[in-house]
Amino acid sequence: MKRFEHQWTPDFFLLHVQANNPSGTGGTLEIVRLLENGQRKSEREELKRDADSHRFIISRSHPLEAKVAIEYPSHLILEVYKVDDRAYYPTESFFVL
Amino acid sequence: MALDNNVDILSWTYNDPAVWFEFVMDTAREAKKHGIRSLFKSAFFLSKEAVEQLCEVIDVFAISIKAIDEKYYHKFTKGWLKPVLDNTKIVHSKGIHYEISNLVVTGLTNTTENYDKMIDFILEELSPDIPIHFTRFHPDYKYMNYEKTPMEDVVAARNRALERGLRYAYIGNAFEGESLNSYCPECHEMLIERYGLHTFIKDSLDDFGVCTNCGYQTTINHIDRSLASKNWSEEEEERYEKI
Repeated sequence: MKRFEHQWTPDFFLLHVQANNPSGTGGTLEIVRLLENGQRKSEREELKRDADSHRFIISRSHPLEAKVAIEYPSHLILEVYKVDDRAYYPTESFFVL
Repeated sequence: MALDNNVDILSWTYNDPAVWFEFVMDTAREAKKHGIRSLFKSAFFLSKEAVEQLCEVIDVFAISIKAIDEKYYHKFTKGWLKPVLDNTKIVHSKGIHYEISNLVVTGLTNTTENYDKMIDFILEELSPDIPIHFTRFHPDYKYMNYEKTPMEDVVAARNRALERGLRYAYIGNAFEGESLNSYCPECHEMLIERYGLHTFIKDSLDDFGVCTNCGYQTTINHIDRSLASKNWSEEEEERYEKI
């Protein structure tokens, strides 16, 4: 498994995430939000088998949310972008693994 | 795909859906047969005939008015202002729900003069019940020389709109703060709270859009509580686990 972790900063609330599927196998991405008070929330995104990629937006979802982490299968490649506008299609990522 | 995923509204945006007008018309018409609504977000530089056709199939319009300034339109959009305003009036005359957004661009439209012109147009030609969104600009593509619009500017624009009599004014491309929320125009009770992409519909707003605190009938409609929590406690109880 691979892992991406992001500490929220006041200047960006939104991440545009693209999971690429070069092997065509697909997989499940586990998204965990960590709050300063110790609570956490888990979500999943599915990348379907044979799909080229899957894109979704993560928004900071709680005033106490400090970090967000994504764990994903090693055969997928994750690209993450900071965006100011959820409808905007970004081109420069800050994380690729 | 929309039916498979229980989507109840299609949002036509990015790119401006004017560029695929025919596809939007065909799809919106087909979607309507299945009970799926359509929202059209556009700079609205269209012919009158196109707008009349859209009004037959579109349920909500989000109209982006760049500035009430003909020179601005010629210089920055290569279009002109009058059709945009005329088209907005057409939608208004048909009673279709619409909201207006104004991109507040650092160094260009982040001025009280610009805000007042927008507010004047809405008050004089439309209605104080029309929601206005003052949206933060962010540098991109060929316009990289200006900074992201300061929060203070869009908040000032929103406050100016409320002071001058618009009833529903918001900021956009911002994700926390009271300027995102909906308040009763009469008693100022918070009716809808927003944070990030989250929405909380308060008990102070009933299912008919009435403020339960003072009885004021707002123009907020299509209230779907299944899509929102009431407050942070409920949200945390349902979705968060303690570790």
